[in-house]
Amino acid sequence: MSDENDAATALDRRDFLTRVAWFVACAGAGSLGAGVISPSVADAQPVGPLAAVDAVVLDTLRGVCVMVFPGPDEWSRVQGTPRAGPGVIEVGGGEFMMGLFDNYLAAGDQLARPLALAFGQALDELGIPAPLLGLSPEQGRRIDQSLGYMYSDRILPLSVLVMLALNFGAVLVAPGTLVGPLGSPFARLSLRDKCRVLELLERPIPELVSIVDRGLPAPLRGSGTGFLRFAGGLVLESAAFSVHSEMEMFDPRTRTVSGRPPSWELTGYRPDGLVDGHPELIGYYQGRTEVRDA
Amino acid sequence: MRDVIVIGAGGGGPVVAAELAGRGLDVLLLEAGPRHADPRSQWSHAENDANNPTDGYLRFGPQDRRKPGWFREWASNLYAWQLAGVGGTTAHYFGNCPRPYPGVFQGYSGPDAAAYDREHEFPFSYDEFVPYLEWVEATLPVQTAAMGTKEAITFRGCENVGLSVQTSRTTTSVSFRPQQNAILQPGGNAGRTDRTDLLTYPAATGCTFCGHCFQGCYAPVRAPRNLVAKRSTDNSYVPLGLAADAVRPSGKPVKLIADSFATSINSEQRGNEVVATGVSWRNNTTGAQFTEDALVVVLAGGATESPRLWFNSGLPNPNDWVGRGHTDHFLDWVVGSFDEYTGNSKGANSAARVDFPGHGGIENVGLTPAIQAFSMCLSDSGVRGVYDNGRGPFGPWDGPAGRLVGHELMDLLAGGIDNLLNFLVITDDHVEPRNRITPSLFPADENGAPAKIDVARRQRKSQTLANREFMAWRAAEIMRAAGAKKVYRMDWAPLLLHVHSSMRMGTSPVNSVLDANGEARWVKRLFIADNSALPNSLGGPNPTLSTQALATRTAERMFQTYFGGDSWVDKEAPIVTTDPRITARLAELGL
Repeated sequence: MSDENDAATALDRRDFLTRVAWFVACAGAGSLGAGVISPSVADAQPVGPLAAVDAVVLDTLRGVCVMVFPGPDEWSRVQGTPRAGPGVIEVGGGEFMMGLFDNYLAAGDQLARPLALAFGQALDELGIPAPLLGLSPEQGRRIDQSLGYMYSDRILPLSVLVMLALNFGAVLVAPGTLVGPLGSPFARLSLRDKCRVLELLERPIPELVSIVDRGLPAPLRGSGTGFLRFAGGLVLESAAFSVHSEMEMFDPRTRTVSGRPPSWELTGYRPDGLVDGHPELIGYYQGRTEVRDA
Repeated sequence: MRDVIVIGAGGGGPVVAAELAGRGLDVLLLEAGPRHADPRSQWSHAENDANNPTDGYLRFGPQDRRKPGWFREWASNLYAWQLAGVGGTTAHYFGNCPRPYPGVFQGYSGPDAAAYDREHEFPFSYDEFVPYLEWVEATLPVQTAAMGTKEAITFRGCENVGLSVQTSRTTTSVSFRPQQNAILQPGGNAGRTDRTDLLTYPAATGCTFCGHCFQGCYAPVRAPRNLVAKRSTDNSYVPLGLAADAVRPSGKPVKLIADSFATSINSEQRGNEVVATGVSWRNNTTGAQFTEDALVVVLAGGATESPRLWFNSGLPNPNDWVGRGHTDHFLDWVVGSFDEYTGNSKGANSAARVDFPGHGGIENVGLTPAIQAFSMCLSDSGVRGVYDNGRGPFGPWDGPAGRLVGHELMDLLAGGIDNLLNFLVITDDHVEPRNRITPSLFPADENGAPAKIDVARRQRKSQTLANREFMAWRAAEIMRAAGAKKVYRMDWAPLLLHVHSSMRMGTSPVNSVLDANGEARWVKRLFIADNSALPNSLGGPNPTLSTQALATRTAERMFQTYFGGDSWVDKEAPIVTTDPRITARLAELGL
């Protein structure tokens, strides 16, 4: 149900076309060659047939984590909000977010595959070289098969779709993020510009909707706007829930949390760990334990 | 051939099952999600373990947590906190059991009558409904909430703005009060210690103030299942149904089958009528498919899944109201930060409320860190200070409404989780036909076409929009009067928790699916008994008590219509679900 079409958008049509032209020009001049873009994920490089893709996904999601939990890490520093104290990057917050999206609602064969393909094609049409996202040109043309190779038929990685959407937005909002530290355009943005990318998803411009819609079978094309708005909301909400939870410090064998999750430290939560009750009973308001109608 | 098959063991289905089993009918209760037979060994107080939407133990998915959850299509920035499993959403609800406002019933003539949704009334009077409310209140049982620090601060705010205290169950005027909750009052050591050894039943009884209602209740330690503090249906009506033969002379135990997704309500044409004949379902673990016939079928899959199953069963929909009229209380969220300790993360998660008949209500909510952060990153007003999606309203809160991120969020949380106080704004949202559930056009999963949830963020009736703004302002004023040093309004995007009315009962066949008995207008022998059957948003109060009272009434009408029985609410006494005979029978059964 489109009920926000009357509102202004982050990038109007003129902006969009201007930036598309910029990308095409840069690509034509050869200034966006693969060598310029060098993912710099510092630790725990993913492995596997699509390791390069996963590295960009992880870097992007680390860029999301620090929006809602900045810490002493490089992603927070690049974002412009470094913060002392325990952070979530150091304890695997980005990896945890990847797991959340990659197992989310079995969305793969419903949604992620056609949309990932559409974003991949759109980036290619914008002249953004395929290695930007860790894909070779051949993989870029065959993203559908590439993803299907790595993941089951039932579950495809929604994280890739989220990564594509966020980075697509990043290069629209701040073209200069095609080069720089870290491993993805989104992670190179300031906190303010990251928020503007989310605005682009929540209130998508028609051109962005068309990119999503064309990836879907004809009967589903009206669902593109809904997906973008859902994704725009989901990214921050799910990140906030994830990195402020106990994440993977829960031991399913003992059903206890080992150590102190960063959010527990930050908020002073449960200083003695999880307990079965609290001495918090004051009594009853005005001493009334029961009410009845006359 | 069963007498009755009930689809869904959430908030409503077990009520029908237990009541009819108590009167000797052969009842099969089907549940799509798991039954958590021993929560203390299966659950925890950890937030991600419980509520991760992909593999948390309280998710919308099958019993095997390694398998993905079930797909739904979303049409906007919204989130449906839906879960499958015995107990349904009562597994993680806060136990709030306020009565509906009398103004939403047929025949109401109070001076504020025009403020309510007169086009979508209950098809009977409030006075007729009260005995069913009383029956459920006694059965669960519903009790007056005890008070912790967050309640005391909330009451202080209410006193400081001059509100009156309510001392009756029926709400007739603007007032505040402790909640009427389906949570057993603390006894023994409960609420007085954090030591597990002292919180073990029977040294502790009732609510131990653990602060984990949203993670599912299994307190006190080693309490018998029907004596667990929070009266989710898996702690109340399901035990009553399983022990039906122990508490009623002609009772027959409910047969419960979990981890089995109903894929079709079967029907046949008989003369000019379509008649429900049974149910087909699929075992999630084995994939095996089953069909059983029944004299009566009760649909209680919830406000999203009930219309889905209706559509997937090919049942008639001549007025196009199946799935329409979805209401969600158009929730909003106000947060206050305090210099003093608030006890936010401790105690029953919601034990104080404020009622504004004709507009809605407010209740306090205690949260733990992950849900607290989630709540402050859910908004229809973008991110404060960066973008506002054309909204970002100003009011008696500080700055524009919207999400907090970066240092602003961290600084607030660093002030201490137990220095925050949350108010949930519960709007009286009038039934909106455009808000609906439809079959998604995305490919079907193993259970059929998934549901598409299409709820407008903003396009609501003018009275609904005005009600929400009114309530948000009152919430911020009370929060400030309680002593908050800063007050934030989130302007939540739709968070679908209080979902109902998508298969509504109504006075008119033009805009309802069910008649005044809860029977489908176009499918005989098919009744609906979950939140979706409610005719409207109740004026704002939380829906569970009303759903369970309506389910009791529906069971009675069904018993009279198709089984030659008699009514019981007007003649018998309810069985309190803490009854020791239930405890003993569950022990015998190893349940």
